[in-house]
Amino acid sequence: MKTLLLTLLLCLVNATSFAIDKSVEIIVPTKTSGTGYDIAVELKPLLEKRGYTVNLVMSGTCTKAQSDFYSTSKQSTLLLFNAWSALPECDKSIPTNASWVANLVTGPAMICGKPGKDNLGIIKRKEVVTIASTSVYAPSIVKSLNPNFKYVPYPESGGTVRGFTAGDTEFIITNMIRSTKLMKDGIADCFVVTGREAINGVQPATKLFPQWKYNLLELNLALMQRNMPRDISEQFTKDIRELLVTPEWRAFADRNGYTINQTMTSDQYNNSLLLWGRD
Amino acid sequence: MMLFLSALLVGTIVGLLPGIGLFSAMVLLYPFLLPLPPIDILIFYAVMAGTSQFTGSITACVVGAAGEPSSIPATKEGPLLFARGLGPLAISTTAIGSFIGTIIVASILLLTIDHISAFVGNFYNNNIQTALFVTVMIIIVMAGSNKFIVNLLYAIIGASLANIGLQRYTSEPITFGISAFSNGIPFVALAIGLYSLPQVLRAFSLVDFKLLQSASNTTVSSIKESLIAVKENIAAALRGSAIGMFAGLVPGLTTILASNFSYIVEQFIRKRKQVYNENGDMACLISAETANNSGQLTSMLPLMIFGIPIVGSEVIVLDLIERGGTQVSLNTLLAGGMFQTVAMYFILGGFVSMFIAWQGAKLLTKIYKIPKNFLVTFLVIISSVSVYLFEADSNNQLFNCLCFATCLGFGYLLRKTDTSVILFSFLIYPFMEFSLVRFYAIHFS
Repeated sequence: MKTLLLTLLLCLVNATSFAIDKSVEIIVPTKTSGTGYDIAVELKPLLEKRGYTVNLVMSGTCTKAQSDFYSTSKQSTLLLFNAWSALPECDKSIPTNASWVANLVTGPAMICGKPGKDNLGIIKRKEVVTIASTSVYAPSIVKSLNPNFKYVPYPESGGTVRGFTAGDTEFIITNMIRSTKLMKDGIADCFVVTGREAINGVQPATKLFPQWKYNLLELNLALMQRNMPRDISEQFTKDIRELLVTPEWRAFADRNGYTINQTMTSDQYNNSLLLWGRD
Repeated sequence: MMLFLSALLVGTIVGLLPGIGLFSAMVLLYPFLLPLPPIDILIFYAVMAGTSQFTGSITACVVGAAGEPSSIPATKEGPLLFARGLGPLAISTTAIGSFIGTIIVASILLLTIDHISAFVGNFYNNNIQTALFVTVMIIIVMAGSNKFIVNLLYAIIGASLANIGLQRYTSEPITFGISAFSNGIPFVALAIGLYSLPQVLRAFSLVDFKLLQSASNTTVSSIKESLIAVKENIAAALRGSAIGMFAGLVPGLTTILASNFSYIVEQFIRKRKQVYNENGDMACLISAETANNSGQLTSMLPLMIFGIPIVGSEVIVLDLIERGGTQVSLNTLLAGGMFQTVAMYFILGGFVSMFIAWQGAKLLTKIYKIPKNFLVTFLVIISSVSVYLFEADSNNQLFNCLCFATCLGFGYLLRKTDTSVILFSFLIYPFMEFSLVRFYAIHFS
């Protein structure tokens, strides 16, 4: 009897010590709106289905998110935007092989003008025109396409759409979800998309503007981890990569005009930062 | 029917309990709303948001605690009116005024919805936005209750505070090396600490508390009495509706700007006419409360017409709708009379909410039977909890509480002046600066 009890006790101790701690904090560098929030709320239930206890921390800014990430003692992940990691104040969140988890989604940028105008010609002729943009696309990025662009900044992508619709600017540079909506509503003529492939009939920037330094510009949203023991980190990375090929995640990506590149490495992600280099 | 009743219930709770905003409510209800068709999601949101504006006024008027920042004017006028024995009349008149605002704006939108898209689109033209924000800032400085020089100083303080953590395009935000400042000073901590709580405590210290306690024994005022009060203040209600309708379209501020700006305008008008009552002014209260109700429906227009949310809670509404495969646009809005249905439910919700607010006030006035010291302690606790719960998922609770304590200290020192000028300047300044930067970029760069 004693032996049986001792065996049971040993089994219990072993089971406890080998059970993976599936609690994880996801630190998001945005407030409760915008792309970061969308990604986090999509990810949370999918991780919970896999047995994780997920706590979302909406840090608000990349600097605060970085500070939260490096000061916590919990098993933590940080949602990375390559466009922001290129900023000097956010350059501490550069993933290594050990801290890298996965790239969650990738999204190109589109440039749109007013319908019925020779938008491509206007840019090729380098005419003086206004363009609405968020801080994600820095002045150096748009001005390298046309140095005569008058850069009109807005705090968020919804603002660029409102301004463009209200006649503030002649052009707009924005993400796929916003540009697709503008095209569907007949408000804009989107004529170029960054990358090598045409999307929804819109020609790729590599073809239309082969000399443009940023013609491959893509927004990557990825995860890096901290405070996870190796076995947990490996399991978490495996779970995340499996999750990226589920129908739920694909539907989310399709809805928002993203593509999924779950095999991206930390080196490839870090190389993508160079595309977002600022003056 | 169940959906409508649920929206009324949730809206009532959101309004009554300080600290629970529309955003938190939508997050909590997300799984339940997910399977609903777009029209039901819009009806639920419109009725819930509308109801919260009605019931938010009760908590603000009765105990001086703002459930939503749009109830801040009510936290000033409400307790003073209660102290004069006019509490129940204030609640019922405000409820009717709010319903008038609801009907006016819903009717205008129903009659013009086919042509509204161009108007809403043009409203976001930067020239109009720049003129709007500069005018609002000037009116705040000119019309504040203090001397001009104090208003100006307060406006500068508000703008300086707004600069902390402000994300610009050309330079790093000012954070003094403290990462928590990168999100700026939390508005709730500033609003409650610097303004609401010191004002309510001051009101409690000035009034005869026994009179307040006797007010708790009064019954709700009669319909006839309330209608007479509404008739006397109908101009204020109409002005509030008009201001609220336009202010509701301002991204990020919507009903907050609607109620606070119409309050300032009404106060200015009444002071010019020398009829403003320093011991609680019914017209100012009605104007502010009417404005936030009319602003609530117009704030949904950019979401429904362009699929662009302008406040946090609308982000969740849009997500819920698009998850179901519907792309939000003017065409979807007009198809099958979707907007008409939402507007009709908004009016119906307003009608029921008017009675909820009327009767709910009767229960809440019993709070004045609590001894003064307990009530003050209760208020401080409720305010602290509101601040603590504000953006609770941001890891900033301790920072928010520290900001609150600091603001409360300054609010107490400045309690004899109108610190609302600091708040309004704090809210408006970033919008004004960004629109001026764009104005320069478009016309002069």
